[in-house]
Amino acid sequence: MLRVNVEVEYSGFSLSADLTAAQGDFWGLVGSSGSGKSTLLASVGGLVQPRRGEVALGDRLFFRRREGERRVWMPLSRRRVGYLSQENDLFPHLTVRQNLAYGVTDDGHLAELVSLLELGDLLDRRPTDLSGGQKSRVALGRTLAVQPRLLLLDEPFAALDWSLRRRLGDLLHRLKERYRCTVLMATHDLEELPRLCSHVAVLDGGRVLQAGEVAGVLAAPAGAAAAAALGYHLLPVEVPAAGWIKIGPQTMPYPSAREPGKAVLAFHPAGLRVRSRSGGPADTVITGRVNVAVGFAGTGWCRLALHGGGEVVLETTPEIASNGTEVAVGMGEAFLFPD
Amino acid sequence: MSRGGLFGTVAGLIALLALGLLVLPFLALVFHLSWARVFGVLAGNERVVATSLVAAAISLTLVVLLGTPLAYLLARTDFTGKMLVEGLVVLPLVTPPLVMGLLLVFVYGPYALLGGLLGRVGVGFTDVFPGLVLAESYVAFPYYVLAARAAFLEVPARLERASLLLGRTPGHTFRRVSLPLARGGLLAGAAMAWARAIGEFGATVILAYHPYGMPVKIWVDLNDLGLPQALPLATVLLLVAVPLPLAALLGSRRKDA
Repeated sequence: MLRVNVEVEYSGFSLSADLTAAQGDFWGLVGSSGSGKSTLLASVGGLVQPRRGEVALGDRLFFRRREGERRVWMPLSRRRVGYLSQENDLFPHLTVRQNLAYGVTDDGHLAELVSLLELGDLLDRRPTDLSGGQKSRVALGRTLAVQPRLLLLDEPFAALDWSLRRRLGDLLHRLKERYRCTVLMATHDLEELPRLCSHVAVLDGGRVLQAGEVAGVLAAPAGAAAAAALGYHLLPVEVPAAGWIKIGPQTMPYPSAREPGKAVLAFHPAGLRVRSRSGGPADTVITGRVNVAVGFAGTGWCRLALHGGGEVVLETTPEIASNGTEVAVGMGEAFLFPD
Repeated sequence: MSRGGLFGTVAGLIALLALGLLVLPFLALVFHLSWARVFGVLAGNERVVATSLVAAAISLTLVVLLGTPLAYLLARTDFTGKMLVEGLVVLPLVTPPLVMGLLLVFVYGPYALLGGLLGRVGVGFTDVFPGLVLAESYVAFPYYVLAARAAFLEVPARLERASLLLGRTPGHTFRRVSLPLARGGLLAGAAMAWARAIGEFGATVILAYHPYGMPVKIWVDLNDLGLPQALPLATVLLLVAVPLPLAALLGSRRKDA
């Protein structure tokens, strides 16, 4: 089990985070740039020294600093933590083979990694002769070759194109299952969350806003900031009276006991469905005008300018996806948060 | 002509001019020299040449052994007074060699505190071979440390961190990552230090006039026998000093470690 409870002051940024991950969990860390994802990973890996707190993996104490206690600090080289970032950090003066074997004392499973990551043809090349995707595969292989008990991933595939990112993500998932390590992965790619992660922690302004199993957190964001980090669309609304909301010119019933005043309605673009007429209170309906539409292979996508303000992209049918169409959209599950 | 072309032409012309000015004194040497005398002088000065080579080699070894850790720490750590340390490293560089020699006498001379103490245990530095090594080391030290510091700064710290995260010790990381990646700059620094050490005159003439190294012998020959006798030995100095920096330059160009 990984236990993290740290306060970090780093380059004018402060982070206060508390997280517990069971062995074998795959945690996604989401949040906007500057929310503290990378700092959290760095403090777990030992790249940044927290001001106080504790980091422990199972019975191995990486760091502890409390009032009146002697500081405990385990050097990076003894932590058995894999760390991977966008830079890959491959050694440019070594071949792929030498990079893969760099931290390995027993190379019994190197051949298996080479095969799983399809690196056989690259072994005698230098990192400068590799493409971005190849470098990422080698870096992933080198990190896993030392059989880390904890894998820290700081958006390692963010610079790659979508299909490569997806392929490497799937590969990562398979390898993680194979090597049974706990993973913490900072990501901006919200598609990766349900596909790869078992758990998610939402960070904002150096704090963990919400943490738990992916399905639960995605289905019930704890607040407007958490919802935004999870890919929800936020729509400013007014609550004219309890049980009602006003979106732009529309006033409609909404099952909420929120007091009158300004509020934010959060809905996920994946839940949007184009409707011919208003639905019931369980499916709040908003209206808008299609201003960009694309139809392809029996499906359509349109960018909808909402009458209540803002834009959303949603999947629809090719007939509806034409410019200038006025459409009503059912939000599916939506949440009303204070402004 | 494009702007890039004009720039290239002007830069090329200035570079040619610089190169010409640089080569001019050596061309003069070639014209004033009798090659037969070079071999003659070499035959009479084997001991002087050997003294210079051995002293410079020991100096270079000392400078590299003592300078590399210092250069690495200056490149990788921040500490109170770092600016002062950097200033101290540069000090011998900005001190005229003759003055450096005088200062060394104040420290290592037989009547100085440290020199006196060392003298009591039989280690002397004035007019002996160790003095020659000491003087050469002092003047060569900053050249190597500054180049090595710059070379280590060029090594991305994240690669060293990656090595530690892969379970390797700081020592292993230094040998397998920092040193190979800084190799070009380290070799360039060693080449400069070698050239500075073997050609050192000012400090050695004060601290260790004897045994003669080549620069002091050239000075003595010039005074006693005149330019025709001094010039061939000067040529010998150039010929024996050049191969190591040249090899270092070629070595630093090799991309693989």
